[in-house]
Amino acid sequence: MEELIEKAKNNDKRAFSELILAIEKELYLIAKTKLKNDDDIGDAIQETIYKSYKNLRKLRDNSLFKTWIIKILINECNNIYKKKRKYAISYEDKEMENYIANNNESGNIEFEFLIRNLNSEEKLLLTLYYCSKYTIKEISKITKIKENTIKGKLVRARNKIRNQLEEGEK
Amino acid sequence: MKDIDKLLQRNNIDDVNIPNSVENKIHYALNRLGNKSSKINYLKRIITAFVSTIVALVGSVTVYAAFGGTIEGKPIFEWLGSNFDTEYENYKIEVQDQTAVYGETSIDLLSKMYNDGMVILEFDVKIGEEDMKKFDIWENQTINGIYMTFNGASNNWIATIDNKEYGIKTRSAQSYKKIADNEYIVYHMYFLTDKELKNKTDFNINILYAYINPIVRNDGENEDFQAVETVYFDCRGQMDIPFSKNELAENTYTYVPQCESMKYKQMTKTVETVTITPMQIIIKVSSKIENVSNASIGSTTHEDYIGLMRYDAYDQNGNKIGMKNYQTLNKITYANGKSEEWDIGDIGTYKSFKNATMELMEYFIIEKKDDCSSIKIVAQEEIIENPTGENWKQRFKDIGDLNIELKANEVE
Repeated sequence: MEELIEKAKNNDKRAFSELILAIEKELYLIAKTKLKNDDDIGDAIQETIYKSYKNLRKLRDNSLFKTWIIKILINECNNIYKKKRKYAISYEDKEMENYIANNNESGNIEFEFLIRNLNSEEKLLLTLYYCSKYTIKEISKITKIKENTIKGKLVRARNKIRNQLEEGEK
Repeated sequence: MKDIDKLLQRNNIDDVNIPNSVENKIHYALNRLGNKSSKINYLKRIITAFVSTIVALVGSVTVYAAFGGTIEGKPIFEWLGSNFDTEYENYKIEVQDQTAVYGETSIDLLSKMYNDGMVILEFDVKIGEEDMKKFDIWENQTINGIYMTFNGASNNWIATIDNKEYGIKTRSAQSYKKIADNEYIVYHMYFLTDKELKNKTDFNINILYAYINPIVRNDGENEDFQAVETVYFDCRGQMDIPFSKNELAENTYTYVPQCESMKYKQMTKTVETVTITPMQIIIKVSSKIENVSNASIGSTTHEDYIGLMRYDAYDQNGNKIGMKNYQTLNKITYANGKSEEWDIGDIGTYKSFKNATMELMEYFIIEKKDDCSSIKIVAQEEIIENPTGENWKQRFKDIGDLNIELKANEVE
C-alpha cells in the first residue's frame, strides 16, 4: 500500500483508484453508520474521493492513509446529515429488513442486524472496532473521542445489543 | 447470556455488498480525478435518458460478459448485429506498421474506422510471458479474454483526442476474440460528437498507456469475470491514430424525418435527424423538460418527477432490433436565464430552484437490418419505487412512441 500511496501522490490516478477500491467496503460500512440513504452514502464517498485525491500530498505519514481518509469521510457524512436532517422513510430500509430476514447467512448481515437499533455514534464505533479492526487508540484519533469514553460507549453498545437479543428471545 | 463480542467479531468485510448506485458513484469519481468540473455534489438518477452503463468493477462480475464478448460466431458488438461485422470488414481501413511494444507485450493496431461519430479500433494484443505471470491465473481458472482500459480511465469513459482528455461517460464499448491464452483481438469503440471533435474533419485518438486485466472463469461456473490483477502497458508516442470524418461520408446520409414528438408530463422528445451509415442507423433525439425544480428532480413523490427511462427498438413487423443510446447533453436553464451544463447523469440539487428547463440530447445507435423500413422506439414500462406515495410503482402511461420511417438516399 505504501508504494501505491507514493505513486498516487505523484498523480498516478490508477494507483489512487486501487487504494480506494481496496477500502471501498469499509468506507461504505462507515458511511452507512451515519447516513441511511444510499444516494447520500454515495455522495459522501464521492466527495471523500475528490478531497483526498486533491490533498493527498499533505499526508506526511503514509501509514496513516486509511485513518486520514476515514476522517474525511466522517466529516463529509456529517456535512450531508446537517444539510438533510429529515429523511423520508427509505424503502431501502424495508428492502434491507426483507433481505436480512431471507438471507441471514452472511456474518456481515448479522452484524448490521445487531447494530441496527444503536445510535449513529455507537454504530460508527462498533464498525471501526469490529469491521475495520482499529484499536481504541486509533479510533480515538479518528473520532476525536477520548479512549476511556470510547471504551465506555463500546460496553454500553454491547449491553444494548445483548438486551435487545434477550428481549427478542422472550 | 450471549457473548456479544464474539457475535460482533464474526463479521467478514469481504461479504459486504455495496449497492450498484454507490458503486457507480465511486467509479464515476475515480474516473474524474483531477478534473476541475468533476466536483459534482450529487449524482441523481438520469431523467428520461437511459444510459447504457458499462461499469467494469475491478475484481467482481462485470456486465462485460453480457455485452458483446465475442466468441466464435457471435458479432463484434452483439447489439449491432451481424450486419455490422460484414460492413466493418468491407469498410474498415487496414493499418500497417502501427505497433506499440512494452517489455514482451505488444499491441498491433490492425484496423480502424470512423463512421459518423463511431470510432472503432481493432487491436491484436500479445501478452508476454512475464506479464502472463502477473495475471496470476489459478489452477482452477481459465483465461478467456482481456479488458483494456486506456489512459487511466477505469471505465474507458475518457477519450484522448489530439492530446486532450474528454469525458465521454458511458460512450465506449469493448469486445474481444481469443486467439490463444496470451493473444486476443480487441475491438474498442468510442462514440464521439462534435462536442469532443470540435467540428474538426481530421483528428487523432491518442493511446498513451493501457491497463490490461484478464477475463477469467472459475471451473464449474457459467460466467466470466474481470480479475483484479493488471498489467501496465506504456505506449506513449507509439499509438497516435489518425482519423478523418470523410472516410465513410459518401456512403452516409442524414435527413430530418416527419415524426411526431413523444410527450410525457412536462417532457417532449423530438427526433432531430436520422443518419444512415453502412454500419448502423443513428437517431438524434432532443428532449426538453419544462417546469423543473430541485424537488421534481430529487423526489420520486413529486408530481413532475420522471424516473429512469429505458427504451426498446422494433422494426415495422414488431421484431425487436439491437439498440443502445447515449446522452451527450445535460443542460439546465434557470428561471433567471442562467444556464449550466452538467455532466451526464448529474444535476446538483443542493440548491433550491424552480421553473427551470432541462435540455438533453441523446443518440440512439440502432442495428441496421436489410429489411427494416421503419423503426419504432418505445419507452419500456419502467417500474420505479415510490416509497412514500400511495402507489409504490410508477409506470410510463400513455407516453407514445417515436415512429421513424427510414428513407433511402435523402440528403439533409
